[in-house]
Amino acid sequence: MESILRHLRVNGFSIRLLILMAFTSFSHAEWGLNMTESATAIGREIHGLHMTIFYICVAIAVVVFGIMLYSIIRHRKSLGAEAKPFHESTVVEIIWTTIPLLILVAMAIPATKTLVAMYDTETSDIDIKVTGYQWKWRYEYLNTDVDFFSTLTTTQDQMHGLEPKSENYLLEVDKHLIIPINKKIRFLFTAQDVIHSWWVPELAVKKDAIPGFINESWAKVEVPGIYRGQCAELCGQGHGYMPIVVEAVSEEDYQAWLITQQQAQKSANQVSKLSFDELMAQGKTSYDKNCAACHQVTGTGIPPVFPALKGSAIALGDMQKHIDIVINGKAGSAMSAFGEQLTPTELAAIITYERNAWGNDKGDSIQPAEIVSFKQAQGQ
Amino acid sequence: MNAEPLAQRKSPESRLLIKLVLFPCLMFGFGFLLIPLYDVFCEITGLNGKFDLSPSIIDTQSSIQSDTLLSSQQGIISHKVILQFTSASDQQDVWNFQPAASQLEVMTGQQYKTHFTLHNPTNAVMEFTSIPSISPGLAAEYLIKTECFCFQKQILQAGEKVEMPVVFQLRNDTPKDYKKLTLAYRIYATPYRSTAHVR
Amino acid sequence: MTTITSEHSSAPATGIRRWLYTTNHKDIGSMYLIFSLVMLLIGGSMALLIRSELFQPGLQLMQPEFFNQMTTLHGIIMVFGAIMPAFVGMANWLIPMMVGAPDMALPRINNWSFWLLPFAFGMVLSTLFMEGGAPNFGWTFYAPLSTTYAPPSVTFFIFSVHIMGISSVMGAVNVIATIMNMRAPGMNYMKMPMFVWTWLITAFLLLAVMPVLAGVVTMMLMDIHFATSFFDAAGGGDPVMFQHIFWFFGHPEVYIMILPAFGIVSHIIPTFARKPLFGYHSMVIATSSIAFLSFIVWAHHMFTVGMPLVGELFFMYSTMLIAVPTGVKVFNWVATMFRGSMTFETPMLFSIAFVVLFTIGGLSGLMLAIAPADFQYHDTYFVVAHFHYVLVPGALFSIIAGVYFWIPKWTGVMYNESMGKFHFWLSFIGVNLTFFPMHFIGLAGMPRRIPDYALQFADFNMVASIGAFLFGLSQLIFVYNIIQCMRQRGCPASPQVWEGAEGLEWTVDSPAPYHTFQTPPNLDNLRSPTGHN
Repeated sequence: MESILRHLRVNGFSIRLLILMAFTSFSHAEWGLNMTESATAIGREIHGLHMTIFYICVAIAVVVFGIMLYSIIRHRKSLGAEAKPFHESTVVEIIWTTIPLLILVAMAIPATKTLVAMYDTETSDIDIKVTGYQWKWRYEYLNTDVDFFSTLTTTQDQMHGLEPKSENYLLEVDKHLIIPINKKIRFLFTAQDVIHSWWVPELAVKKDAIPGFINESWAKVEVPGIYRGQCAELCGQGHGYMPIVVEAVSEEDYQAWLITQQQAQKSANQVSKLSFDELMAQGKTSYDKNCAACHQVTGTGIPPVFPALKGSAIALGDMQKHIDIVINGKAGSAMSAFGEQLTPTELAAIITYERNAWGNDKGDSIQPAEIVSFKQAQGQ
Repeated sequence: MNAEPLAQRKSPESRLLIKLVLFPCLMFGFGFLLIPLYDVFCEITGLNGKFDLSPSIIDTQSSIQSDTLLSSQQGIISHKVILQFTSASDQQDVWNFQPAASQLEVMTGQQYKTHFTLHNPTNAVMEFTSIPSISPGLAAEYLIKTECFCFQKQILQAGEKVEMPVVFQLRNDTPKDYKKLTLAYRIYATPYRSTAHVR
Repeated sequence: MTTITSEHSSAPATGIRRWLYTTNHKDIGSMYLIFSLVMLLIGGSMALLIRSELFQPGLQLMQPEFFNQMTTLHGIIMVFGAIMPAFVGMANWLIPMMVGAPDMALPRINNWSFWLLPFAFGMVLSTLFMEGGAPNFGWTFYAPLSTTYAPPSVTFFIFSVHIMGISSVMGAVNVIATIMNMRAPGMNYMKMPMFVWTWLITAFLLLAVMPVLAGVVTMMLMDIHFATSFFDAAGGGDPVMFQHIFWFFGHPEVYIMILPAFGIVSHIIPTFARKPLFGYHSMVIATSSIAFLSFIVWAHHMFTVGMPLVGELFFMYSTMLIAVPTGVKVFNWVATMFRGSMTFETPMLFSIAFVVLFTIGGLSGLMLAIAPADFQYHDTYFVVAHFHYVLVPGALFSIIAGVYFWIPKWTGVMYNESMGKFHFWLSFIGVNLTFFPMHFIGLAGMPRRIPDYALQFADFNMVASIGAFLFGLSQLIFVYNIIQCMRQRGCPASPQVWEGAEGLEWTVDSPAPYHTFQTPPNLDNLRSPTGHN
């Protein structure tokens, strides 16, 4: 009976999914054809440049293909066309070397102007250090304490078609990068592990984040709104799952947000005691978001690269070792150090969940406070 | 194929062959030569904000006047630049590698001193290298460092906490349009192995 | 030319030994062509797997990890396994016949350079079954994803790249030695057919850059196994340096894949327009200048790594400059068609499609060269659209055109013309349906190499996937047509084959005898490609 019900539910989902798909494909009046309109002056300049060059290319294509089409239609043997065996003309060759050269010069002038404007090194209002991790972004607002990770929130169920896809499927994160409008924001890019590339089309910013080195770019957003982007450099299996969401707000809203962030940052390590069920519930949410991409929702992993947690020696073994690997990661493997990426509550919930889910049934649990003391012991 | 004309033409043919074989070998070598060439290229163009990792010698009238301002070259008009510091390590909340000041307003042609703090959280002796990088990259040639922990490998005892000084100045000919520079250090730590153990 | 067979009676050996031990340029050419066809089908199946996963949003068929392995292997196999060996196969078949030589200059090396390939690609494909999976870092294998973070199979990948490199370099040495030493008396450089010219220049490009590729993978090998830090910031290296060295190889490599295509098209268009190629000299000069420029434009693949302004400007200008010689070539082809007496057999159809679609790819390349705009195009589907336009309806269409053009000479049998035309139209529609929408999704903001995408990209991805299947499946007609020719099913072809065909290869019988031009041909009656006698 239960299985039938589950079956029906899945079917319900797929029906809803089908309706949703049909709906979206009809409602997609904007079959995005062209480069995204930008929210910055530089972006609009780039867009203009793109359109200019595109029209020049179209004009060239029309002329070349036009002549070609004309001779394909007129100079065919079936119409009795006789071949005129001309095969050389220095004058013509010189003309069609010079004209493209002039067109190129005409293209290069505005391109150079825009490029010089992009490389402006005037001082900035806000500096944000962006660090690429496999597979999330970290934002540090320099000269403040604000420092957080931004992780994809789209669920595994949505990816695998078990529930309908949300409006911003794969382009939604837990914490937006908040910036004020009409301020020059200077972004500093670096990466922790492999090369990533931070790209928000509407901001017209794309820069590689290179491990060990620092890069910069800037944007001055003029229109408030939410702008979404993605990592643009192949960075491993999670490459498609590290979106960027920038929220441009008014100066007052930004200041207010900054204050709440700074307070939240301080209270992040203050923890309360949770029951086993609460830990398991939060554990499932946090696990699916942070761990399931590799270790899978079912805990079976993708051996040998991503080991199974179900029945694993670590999840069923010594608690301290388990905490250690989650907090500090495993050197030389894809397992990153989550100690700095997650709050003590999330860490405790995930560890408890891993020890008790999928038939692991270890039966023990850990409180956020123990995570804090583990980190403190490590730090001294 | 007739043997006779082949024999007559053999010499230029084999010379061509030798050239054709030698050329790829040279290009293989050239591939490796690209590395030193690349460093030269970086130095000229400031790509990646790479630094020459050796101390520069400048005329220090080394009377330390204040904590930050060490000396100044007189007579040349200097201008103000904001210099930011940022740091990164494998696990930033554990290693706690931090600049003492997140940014300084510096005058070009004057020498300054600042420091970074680093804490070895492990219970092993660690050895680490620091990789500096500056943005915009072209500014690398204007930043002169007379003392820096990035010049050589550093060793840190278990649990040790250190303050590591950086003494630097921006050259007076730093272009005026560099209003804000960022100097970043990335630390890579490995367990220390004394030279006696190295094979 | 009829005296040849009686003079030299060494007939091909029989059975497998004919193919294993052969030093005959025609046998080796056939093996190269068949090998590349097999690789095309394998690489194509991977492309279809990729397109099926991207048919709609969500993960339906594969995990992201496997998706990355597919994109990597698809790239490697198509570049090194399908396009390059196909051109080498054609060079083997045609260069000796076009310059009036009895065989390639170095027949044993020729045999070896072919037989390395099945082993190299066998090794690449075997990584699919290894623990940790096949290489998953893209065909550009940027460090440190391909070093510190790579699966163990990367070592096999590196070794097979070495083998492919050795094979290519030996093939190039052979081509140069043949062209320089074995031309028939009177065949001076400015009388050489365009295919020979373009291949001579391609061979020099190969000699110059394949060793650099070997160098960069050797550095990777050392970083992985011998604790060096060429590309690791921790030891004083730099991951960006990998990209510089790779693209120093990679950009000339792009022209290695297109210059012989220019040569093929420069044979087919004059044949079916029934007039000589317009501007032979400027074609040669244009090809050489493209080859030269290819060495100083590499960093346009890296506009977003954070180069200083001067660097960006230099690489932008030099890249834009390439448009000039490329434009000259396109104009010359159009001028060759102009006032001709054209017929539209399958090779001509593919060649005309080549000119049109390659020009579209070239124009999007010009857009990509504009550095500020490239910040928006870089690593999106716009780039995917661009390089597929120059490689599929570019290089691949020219190969297909060349096969239809010369297969009567190779097998002695005409292919089935109506099937050929059907193949053309399906391919033409399929290729545009696949790759044209990619311009749009790229501009709209879809990055490359992602296994799943946001909902606003769904419609065009679906179109592209349908187009891909249409294009992929229509190649089966091509395969069938080739097999029919190989089985001698069809009308026997005359030595001349095409009414307007010019060149030494059309003076021998169809099929070409096992040994041709054992005594150098007399060139007196041959019209030179410049149009003069």
